[in-house]
Amino acid sequence: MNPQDLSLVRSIAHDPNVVLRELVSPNIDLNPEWIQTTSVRRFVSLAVELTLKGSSVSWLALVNAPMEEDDREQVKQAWIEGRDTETDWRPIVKELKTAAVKSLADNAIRGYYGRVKQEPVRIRDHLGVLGLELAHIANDGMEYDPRPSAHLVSNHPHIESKWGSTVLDNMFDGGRPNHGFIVFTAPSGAGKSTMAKTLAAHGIAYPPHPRVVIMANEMVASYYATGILQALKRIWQGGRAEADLIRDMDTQLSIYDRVTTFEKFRQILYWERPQVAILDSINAVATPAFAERYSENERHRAKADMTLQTVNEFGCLLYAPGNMSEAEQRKLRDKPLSVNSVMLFNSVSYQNSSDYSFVSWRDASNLNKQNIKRVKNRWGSGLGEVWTMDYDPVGGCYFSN
Amino acid sequence: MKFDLKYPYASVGHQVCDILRVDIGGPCWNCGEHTKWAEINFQGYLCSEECVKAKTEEYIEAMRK
Repeated sequence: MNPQDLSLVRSIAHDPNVVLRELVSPNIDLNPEWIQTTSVRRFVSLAVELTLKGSSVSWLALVNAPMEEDDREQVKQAWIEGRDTETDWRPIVKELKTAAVKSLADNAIRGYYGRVKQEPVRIRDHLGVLGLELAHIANDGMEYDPRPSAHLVSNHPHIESKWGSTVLDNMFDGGRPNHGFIVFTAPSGAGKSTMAKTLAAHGIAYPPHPRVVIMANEMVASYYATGILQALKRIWQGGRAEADLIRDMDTQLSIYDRVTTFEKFRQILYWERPQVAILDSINAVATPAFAERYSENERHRAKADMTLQTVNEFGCLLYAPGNMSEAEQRKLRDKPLSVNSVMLFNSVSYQNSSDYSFVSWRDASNLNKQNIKRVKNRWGSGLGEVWTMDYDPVGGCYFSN
Repeated sequence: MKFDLKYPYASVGHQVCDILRVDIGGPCWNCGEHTKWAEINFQGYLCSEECVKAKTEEYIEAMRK
């Protein structure tokens, strides 16, 4: 055992963080409260033992050990009560996994690309080991998208294609944007979910056929599946058989209902990588009931902020309808189908974060007419414009001539 | 420990467990200090482990009642 190894073993008695920084990543920093628990010390001892015996691959094997379903409440409860449980190391494994896999993978790949031209025969002999590490990374679902189109993505906002509807094209200044956060404010029952179905149907029907994901929390999946099929039938006007339309939907569309937490919303975007995402509705992404004590405006601001980060991170076009205000929803019981100043005031946070913001309402005289007013767009032009779309009761969607 | 100190190099969009580094930020739900860290489950800004712990305790207490 060399002196460096000895010093590592000694330091574990004092601070596992030091060992982890030496062995895994210089940026790692574990929660001091976790370090006090014996299970963490046992975990780190095992890791050190493996490292002294072998290579970094042992580390990967350890941190990639399959975890059981994360029983978060149990862990939190144990943490608060100061109990030492067998499950305590799970959050640490999560942190370690990210840090270790990233740093090892980066080093291995950088080393490979750096040396393959200088010592082609020698370095290719080591491909087996590199392959093993890459397999671990792939099994863990690293943030890597194999589709070529994912590597052509530009963050520069631009219009990617036409929606196939005059009004929709005008609403977004020419067509479907490549990414952005669309806020669509309307009273309950004014047609926010109908607009979601309309956007999804147009995305599916018109080239380049983006991947669409609907994340719903108020309606069930069959509501969207049935509605979008009817809307597609209307768009195609009998030009395409129903079986083909269903196949189109299966290829391009995923529908998740009961998306009631922000974590689940992020996970779905992570795995699906859609070009068009629909979160219906943003208000129903649940907040723990006790959080009502938090200032309503601050909570809306945090939610809008997190949504914006998520949209930028995954580079998709997110349509997020909602009343944008709990107080407003209560008032709407007395005065349905109205857009008033309270709703607009409470949606300020969403409007600040959004790329496009619309307010929508229906005329009491003709409930089949949907009015859409633009409050914000990327270029700051044409604000206040109002468009009208017709409701198709059979198709369950909007259309424009 | 403050998340700003714990993760000084975290970029916008960085997620550690349930904590997300955001861009605009706001006052911490617990202590009121301005922060750019948000807790995903609570959908509120929380600046440090202590503040998350305080709110988690409150949450568990509220659930018990």
